[in-house]
Amino acid sequence: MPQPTRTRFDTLALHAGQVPDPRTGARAVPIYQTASYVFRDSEHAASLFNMERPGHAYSRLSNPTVSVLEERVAALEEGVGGIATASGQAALHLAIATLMDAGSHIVSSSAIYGGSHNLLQYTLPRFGITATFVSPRDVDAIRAAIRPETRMIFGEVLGNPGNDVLNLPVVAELAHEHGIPLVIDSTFTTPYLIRPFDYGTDIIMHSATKFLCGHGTVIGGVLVDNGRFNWEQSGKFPTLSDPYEGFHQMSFDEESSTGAFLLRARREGLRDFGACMSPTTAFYVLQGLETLSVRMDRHVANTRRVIEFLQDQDAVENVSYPELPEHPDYHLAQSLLPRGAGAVFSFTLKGGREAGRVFVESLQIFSHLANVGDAKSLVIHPASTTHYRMSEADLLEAGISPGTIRLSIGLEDADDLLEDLSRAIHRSRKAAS
Amino acid sequence: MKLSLEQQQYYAYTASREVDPALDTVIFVHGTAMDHSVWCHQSRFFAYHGYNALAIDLPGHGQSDGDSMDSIEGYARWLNELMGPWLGRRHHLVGHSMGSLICLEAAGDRHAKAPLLASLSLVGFCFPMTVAPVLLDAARDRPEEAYAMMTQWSHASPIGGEPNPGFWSTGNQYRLMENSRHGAVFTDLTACNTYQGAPGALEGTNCPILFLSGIQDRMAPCKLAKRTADEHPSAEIALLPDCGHNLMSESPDGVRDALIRFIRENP
Repeated sequence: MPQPTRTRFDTLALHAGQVPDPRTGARAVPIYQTASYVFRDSEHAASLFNMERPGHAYSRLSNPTVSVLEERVAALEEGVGGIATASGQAALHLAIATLMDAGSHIVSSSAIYGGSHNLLQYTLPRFGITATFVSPRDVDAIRAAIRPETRMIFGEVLGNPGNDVLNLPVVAELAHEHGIPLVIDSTFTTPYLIRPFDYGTDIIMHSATKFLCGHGTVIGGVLVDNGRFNWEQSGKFPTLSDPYEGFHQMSFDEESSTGAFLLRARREGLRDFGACMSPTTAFYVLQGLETLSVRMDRHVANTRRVIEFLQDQDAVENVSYPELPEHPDYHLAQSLLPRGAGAVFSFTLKGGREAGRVFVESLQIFSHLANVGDAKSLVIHPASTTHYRMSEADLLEAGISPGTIRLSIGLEDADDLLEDLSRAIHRSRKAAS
Repeated sequence: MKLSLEQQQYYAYTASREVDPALDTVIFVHGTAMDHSVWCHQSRFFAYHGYNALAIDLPGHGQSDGDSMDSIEGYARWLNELMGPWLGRRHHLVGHSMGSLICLEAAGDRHAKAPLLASLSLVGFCFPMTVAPVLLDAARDRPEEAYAMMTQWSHASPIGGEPNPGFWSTGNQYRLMENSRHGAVFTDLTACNTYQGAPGALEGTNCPILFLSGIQDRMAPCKLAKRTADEHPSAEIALLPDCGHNLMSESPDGVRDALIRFIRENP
C-alpha cells in the first residue's frame, strides 16, 4: 500500500468540506438559503435535536453552506472543527461565553483590535467578566496577571496596529501551566501565514471579514478548536465538563473528547445568543478562501514593496513591520512567520496629526475606511477611528501615536500604490511646511 | 460512568443516562488509539431508545485507567470481566476495527459468562487484520507519521464533506490518536497484527453476526469481511457506499440504521 500524504493547503482551500451536490452536480458550493429543514418523520426530528444523528434542523444551529466553510477553515488550520459566526466580534464573544461565567477573568494582550478591547474593557465587566491588559512582549507581566479565576489568555498573532508578534509557544506553555487555554485572533495572518495550533494555541478566532473573505464584501467570524485541551483535567471549565441541565444533562467533554468546546458553543451559544453566520455570507467567504494562498502571497509581496518605498521617504518618521530588522519582534517573526508578516502595518509621518490628515485625504487609490484585509488597499488613522475610545495612555500602550497611519495593502499593481503614496506624501509635506 | 475492576477505574459513556437493569444493553468497543466518542451518535440513539448503551474506553485509552494491551485475547478477557454484571442479561456487542476483533474474541470465549449475547456487530472488520510494516514501524518509532497514515487511509475522501456539521473528521481522528497515551497506537496495532483467533472465536459464537463495512475501506477491505461472513451460517454483511474505514463518522446514519435494524431483529 503506498504511503499516503496529507492533502495540501491549496487543495484543501478549494475542496475541503464539500462534495459536489449529489442531486444537481453543482461544482460550486450551493447557497442553502433556508431557515429550516423538512423532517422525514417525528423520530427523525427528535433524533436530530437530541444529537443522535448529525444533520441540520434550523439554520441558527447549522446550515449546509455554513458547514462547508466551518469544515474548510478547520481543515486549513488543522483543527478538529469550527463554528462560523455573524462577525469576528461574535466569534470572540461566543468563545468567552462558552468558556466562562460571571467572576471569571481574562488576561489579554494590550495590542488588540479596538473592538475586542471595547468588549473586554467596557462591556464584559457589566456581566461580571473582567480583563487585565498586558504588553504582548512582556511574558513576565502575562504570568503575573494570571489569577485563580483566570480562564483564558487572549492575544493576536500580529498585534493591532503595531504588529507586535505574540510569542505563541511561550505564552501557550504559560497558559497550559495554569490549566487555561490560549485563544488567538489570527485574522491578520490567516492559516496560510501561520497555523497557531502548531505553536500550542487552543482556540483560533478569525474575523472572516478580512483576508479569509478577502474582498470586503461580508461581515463574519470563525472559531476553530484545536481539540487538544483537556477541559476535564483542568477542572476550571464546568461548562464543558459538568452535566448541562439545558441539554439533557450532557457533559460535553464526554460527548466529544476533542470537540467539547465546539459542541457547547453550538448547542448553547448559537442556540441562545444566536449570532450565526448567514449562508450567503458563508458562500462569499468560501469564494475568498479558494484563492487565499494566491492572494496572501501577493498581499505580502506588495507590502514588502510599499515598506521598502516608505523607508526611503524623508517624510516618514518610522515604519513598523516585523520583517524589518529594527522591529522588536524581528527574530520572532522570522521564526513564526517565514511566509510573511502580513499586509497590515503602521507608519508615522513627520508633521503629526495634520500631516497625517492631509496624507490620508490625498490618497486616490487607497480607500480611507475602517477595515483591513480587502483586495483593495486601505488606509486609516487609528487614533480617530478604530481605537478612538482608548485613552492616550492606552493608545501609547498599544503602540499608537496621534500621527500613526495604518495601511492594509491590497492586490493592485504595486507601482500604482507607490505612485499614490508618493503623491500623498508630497502633498502632506507641502501642507506641513 | 466509571466501572471498577481489580482496583482500576474504567470509563463507559452512557449518554448521561442511568443504567436500567430492566433493559437490554448495547456495548460499544472502539478501535486503535481511539475512545468511546467515536460511537457518539450511534450509542446516544440506543441510550434514548429502550436500551442501556455502554461505549467503553479500553484500558489505557480515553478516561480509563490501565495500560493498552498487545493482544486481542487480553482485551477480550478484560472486556468479559468488566462487563460481567451485564453479560448475565441480554446484551449486544458492537465493535469497530480492533474493537471488532475484541468483540468477536469476547463473544467466542467459551469460558466467559456470556450466555445471553443476543447479537454481534463487527464494523470495519477484516481477518487477518494485517498491519503494513511501514505503519507498524511508524507506530513504534514515529507515532505522528502513523497517525497521519491511519487518518488518510481511514477516509474514503481526503477532502471531507462529512455529515456532522462543523467537524473536520480527518482532523478529529488525527487528534484523537494524538491525544492517546504514549505507545497505545503501537500496542493496539500489534494486537491487531498478531491476532489469529478469529476462526476459533467465530466457531464459538452462537449469536447472529452483522459485518458492516465501507466499500472503500482501505484499512480493512470489505472483501475480507465478506469472505469471513460467507463462511459463517449466522452472519450477514452490509456494505456502506462512499465510505472508508471511519464508518461511524463518514456515514453515521448508515451505521446507526444498520445497527438499529440488526439489533432490533435480534432481541
